[in-house]
Amino acid sequence: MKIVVAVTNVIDLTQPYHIPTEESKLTSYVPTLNPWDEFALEAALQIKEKYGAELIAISVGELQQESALRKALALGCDSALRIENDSKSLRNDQIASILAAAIRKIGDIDIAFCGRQSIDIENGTTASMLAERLNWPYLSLISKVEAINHGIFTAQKSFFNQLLTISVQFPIVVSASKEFGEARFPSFMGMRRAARAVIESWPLLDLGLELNQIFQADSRIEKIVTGPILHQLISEENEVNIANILDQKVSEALS
Amino acid sequence: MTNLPVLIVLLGTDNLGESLSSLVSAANLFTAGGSQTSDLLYIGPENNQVLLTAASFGISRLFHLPINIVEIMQKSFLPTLENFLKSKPFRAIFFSNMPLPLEISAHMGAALQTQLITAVDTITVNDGITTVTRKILAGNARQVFNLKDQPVILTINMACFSAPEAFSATHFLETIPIANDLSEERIKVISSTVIQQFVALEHSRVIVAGGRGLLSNPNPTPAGIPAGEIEQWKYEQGFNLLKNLAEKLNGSVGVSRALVDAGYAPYELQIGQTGKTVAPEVYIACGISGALQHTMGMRHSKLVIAINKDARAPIFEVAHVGVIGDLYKILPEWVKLRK
Amino acid sequence: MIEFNLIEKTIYTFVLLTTAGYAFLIIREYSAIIRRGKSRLGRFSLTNIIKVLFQKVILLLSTWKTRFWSNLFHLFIVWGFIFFLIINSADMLSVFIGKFDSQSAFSNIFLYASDVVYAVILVSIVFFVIRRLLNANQFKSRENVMTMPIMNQIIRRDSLVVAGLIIIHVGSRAAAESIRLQMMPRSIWLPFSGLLSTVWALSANLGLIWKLLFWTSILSLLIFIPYFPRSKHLHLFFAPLNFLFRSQQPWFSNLPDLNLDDPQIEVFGALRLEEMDRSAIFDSFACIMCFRCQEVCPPYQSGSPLSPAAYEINKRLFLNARGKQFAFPDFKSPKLTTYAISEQALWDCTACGACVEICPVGIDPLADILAIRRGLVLMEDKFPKPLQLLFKNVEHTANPWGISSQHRLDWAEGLQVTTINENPHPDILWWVGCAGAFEENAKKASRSFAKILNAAQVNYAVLGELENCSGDAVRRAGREDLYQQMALSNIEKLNQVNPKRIVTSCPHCLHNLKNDYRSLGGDFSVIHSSQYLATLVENGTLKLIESSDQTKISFHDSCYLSRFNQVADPVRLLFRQENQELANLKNEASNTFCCGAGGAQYWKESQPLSEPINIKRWKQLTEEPIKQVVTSCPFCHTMLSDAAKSQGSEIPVLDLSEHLLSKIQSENK
Repeated sequence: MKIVVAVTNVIDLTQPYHIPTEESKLTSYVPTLNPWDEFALEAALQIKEKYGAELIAISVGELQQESALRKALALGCDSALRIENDSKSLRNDQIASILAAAIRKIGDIDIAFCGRQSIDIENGTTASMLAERLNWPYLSLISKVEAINHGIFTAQKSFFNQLLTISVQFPIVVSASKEFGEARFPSFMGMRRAARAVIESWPLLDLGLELNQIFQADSRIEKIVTGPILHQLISEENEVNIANILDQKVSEALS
Repeated sequence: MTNLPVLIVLLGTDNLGESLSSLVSAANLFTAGGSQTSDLLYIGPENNQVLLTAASFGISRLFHLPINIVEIMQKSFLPTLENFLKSKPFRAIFFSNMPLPLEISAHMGAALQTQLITAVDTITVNDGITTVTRKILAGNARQVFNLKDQPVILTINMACFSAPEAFSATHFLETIPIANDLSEERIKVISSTVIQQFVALEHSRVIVAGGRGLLSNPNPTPAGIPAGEIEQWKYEQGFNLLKNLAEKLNGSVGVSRALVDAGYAPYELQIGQTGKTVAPEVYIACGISGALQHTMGMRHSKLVIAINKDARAPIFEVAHVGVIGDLYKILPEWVKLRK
Repeated sequence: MIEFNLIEKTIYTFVLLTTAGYAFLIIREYSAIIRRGKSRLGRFSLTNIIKVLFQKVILLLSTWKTRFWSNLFHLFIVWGFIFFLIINSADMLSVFIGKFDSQSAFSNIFLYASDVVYAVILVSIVFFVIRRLLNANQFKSRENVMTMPIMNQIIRRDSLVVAGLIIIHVGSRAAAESIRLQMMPRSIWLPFSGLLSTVWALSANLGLIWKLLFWTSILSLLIFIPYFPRSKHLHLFFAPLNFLFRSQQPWFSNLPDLNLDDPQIEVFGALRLEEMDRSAIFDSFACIMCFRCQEVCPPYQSGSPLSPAAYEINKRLFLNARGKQFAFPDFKSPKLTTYAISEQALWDCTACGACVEICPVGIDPLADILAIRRGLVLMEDKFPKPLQLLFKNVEHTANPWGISSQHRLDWAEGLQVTTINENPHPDILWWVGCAGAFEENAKKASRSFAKILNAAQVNYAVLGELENCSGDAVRRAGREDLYQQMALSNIEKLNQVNPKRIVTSCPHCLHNLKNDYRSLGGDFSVIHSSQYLATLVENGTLKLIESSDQTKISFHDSCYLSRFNQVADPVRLLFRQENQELANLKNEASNTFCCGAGGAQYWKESQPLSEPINIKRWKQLTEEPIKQVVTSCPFCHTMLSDAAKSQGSEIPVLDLSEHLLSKIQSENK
């Protein structure tokens, strides 16, 4: 079984970062592996541990993405691949096209894992778009793998008000929900291995891909400035009074 | 400005009442000042309520792709949908920003080579230019898109669009069935069990949320509970307290990540960066310290009330009304008040 | 003069040579076993030899902390043993050159001394046998401790075999002497043998009986020699050597440095005995199996499966059973966690150092425990789950609380606290510590200390946002890489600042900055806030109000201050200055009892123990009626506050700074 996990760095929102006016200039920040990609990695690693698989981490972007790939290696991926691209404003459909081309070029991939969304831009569309580009079925937000048998992948997913057990034939695109369990942390030996690993990189041109240019609306970024918003601080008040004040506030807000 | 109609896509899995009204409200903002009409595409099993509601909102054309709920998840209708959308030009296509509609919108965006803007929270038309915005960077910035005439697919952050006014008189609605040309299902359903259903947090006007503070329950633990289960007991007591209040306020209960990670609360209830993002009218944070992880998911609530014993808890930075006190003393009084 | 015939001489020579050969083989085997350990044993000088000989061998200074009577009788045995070295040498020689009967004064005094020694040794041995039989439980571990199944038997057997040997060896020597008394009466020099000699009065063949007894005495010793290296009595050589090899160590449980960047190194920490330092293997031979360390171990007392004694004994029994294999350089021994110490026990250790402090033979079980933790964490990624949050927080925010560095000075809101940027050349660089910056109790202590410094008009500065976690908790939880990351960044910043003197609020920061950082290139003058406060009071900068009421205060010593760094007096000086009497505690100063937080326990959900350590300590502190519990460590502070809460106690727990703030005279305010 051969699995790719698409990973990317995002802005570490807990660290200071600069908000420019254009998305393409969103460059001064501390990068961190996207937490949703960590869940995807966790799911893939659990599959590797239980069923055995070759895990390839893949990322599209600048050299900076190597830190995301190294973390994936440290966690237990067997190899890592970066598709070189210096453009800072790739749309998700273009990323999906690049990933699809790379997955075809690697060949024999059974599962392509994606994170649910990035925590900074929060579109959450790449996995669906990748499935469309590859024309593979997309199993979104699965919570548990039940079985993998003769190329049939059986998993659980909560949907509507039900917990479904669904099965589908490889190859597939999959995203994982948080229920796979908390994403693991890289071990010291893993980090040591990853620090020394050579990360393969392919120039975008090698994929023989022509990125389609669909029309884009003009867009800009505006910083949202919120001042202190606390209108009222209640302390040293007896509970009944507090309850009365709060209840009134709620009634006002809902009316 | 073209006069092409806009299309609202409603799935059978959507929360029919709220999703439809938010979508219509968004579409109305979009078409304001223009002469476009809004059409509705309903993908799901026969449902008279959808028909009536749509009619009451003044929608004149209803396309219906009749499939059952599970078939929506299996997504074998995608080629049919793709063909339908290719055959009929629309100015804009609206989906709700819930997981499944978002997946379908993304698939269509890629298939139709059309720009997709997700989680839209405002729509304004000024001097003929339609502007939509969405929040990014955990709500610290917004992306602003000035739309031209090219078609666009939008997914709507439903908490940001309140219900439109319904027409008083029943409107005439034309229903057009779509040929049910389903391809073979690649995803097969082997079994299903009904699970406890939580009121979708995204739709709640009031959310009462609890954090680690629920575990500092001062009430004496009844005898006979093993040491290892005391925390569980404390959590359950606290959760019931939140639930009582939420019921009184017609709202629902959410939790912070700490309680989900500790295994007490189900993931469905988690609010925050890796949980749900909500923006209700009233958000009552009880015993939640307010780590960035959590506030990312609730900071755009209209009224935030924070109850915490620790005056320095960061939750007070995002709260409109802060109460320094014990939730176990305040909430019971509040519940009594609403009796 | 008694002479020995050729047959006797031949047999004796044969036994002697066999024994010597056997001893040689054993020495070779043991040295091969010890050489399997990683780093070399320490160096020592002639001064060390004299010091160890005098302090540890002659006076047995390291034994006197507990068990007075045992120590006394043990002292007699040691002195007797030393004396017997002379007796036995003379006896062994006498086989070849004959036994002289000198009538000189010297000989008489010697006879007299040996006669006293026989009696004292025999009485002492009887004491030990009785104690062993009556106090059997003192010498075993609870059921939940991982022990080799044969442990209890072996320890008992060792004790009885050795007691038997000594009784036979010394007894037969005494008896032999008493026969000589019959043959040539000189009873005034042999008062005890003299009593015995009356037994022989009727016997005819005294010469033969004498010879039998003489041979019994000598041969019993020689025959015992093969048993000796497998027994705990080996400590009589290994204990002094152990002290010698450790004599140059600046402080105990000094963790070996790891070069994490060296690609040649494949093993970090120690999962197996051969991955340990040589001193750890040496320890197992030195162990006397006295269980003192188990007695003082706070987790053990609280019901944990941790027993430092059991760990050391397990190592020894393993070497007894498989030492020959282990001596081979490529033998891979089983993991220590499979036979010597359970993982739970390993993670229960509070790294308080009580076991090291009490050990009469200089063993350091704590160093081993920390080495195994390193191995588990670095090599196998195995550790209690809650520690993950600690690691993550330290990694991401450079403090265990996971709060962003920009909030490091939030505690000082409204106070005049200058940062190093505002005041680049202060007299004192105050290292506030992560607890002092983020933990509620400790923040109050920080505010108090700042107010005192301001009142005393001290020219000081804090690092503020520049401060990182010292790395104590992650280091003692095995994450050496993370520790080095923290330490190197701190050392770099401190070298830039080049402070005249650093004052830390937290004893753990003190230990790291002052001691642990040295091997990474950090050489700073560091003192603890209690030391600094004492200086301020001593030189008259601060004046304290004398206490008016007579109620006592319990002062709780932090392990990393009073034990690891021997800083216990300054705080007592402060209390004397304010005329405040301290409660009498069984465990105080370097003999303090852990609060339960150390060794990263603070960050790990504790296993249910029969009585949590902090509550045990709280009970000790509140035995007498007191008005306050004062401590000078933020972690002790929290643990004791929690204990007070859970005990429903109204007695306030204060940091030393908080306590002193209320004692400063108004001219300072």
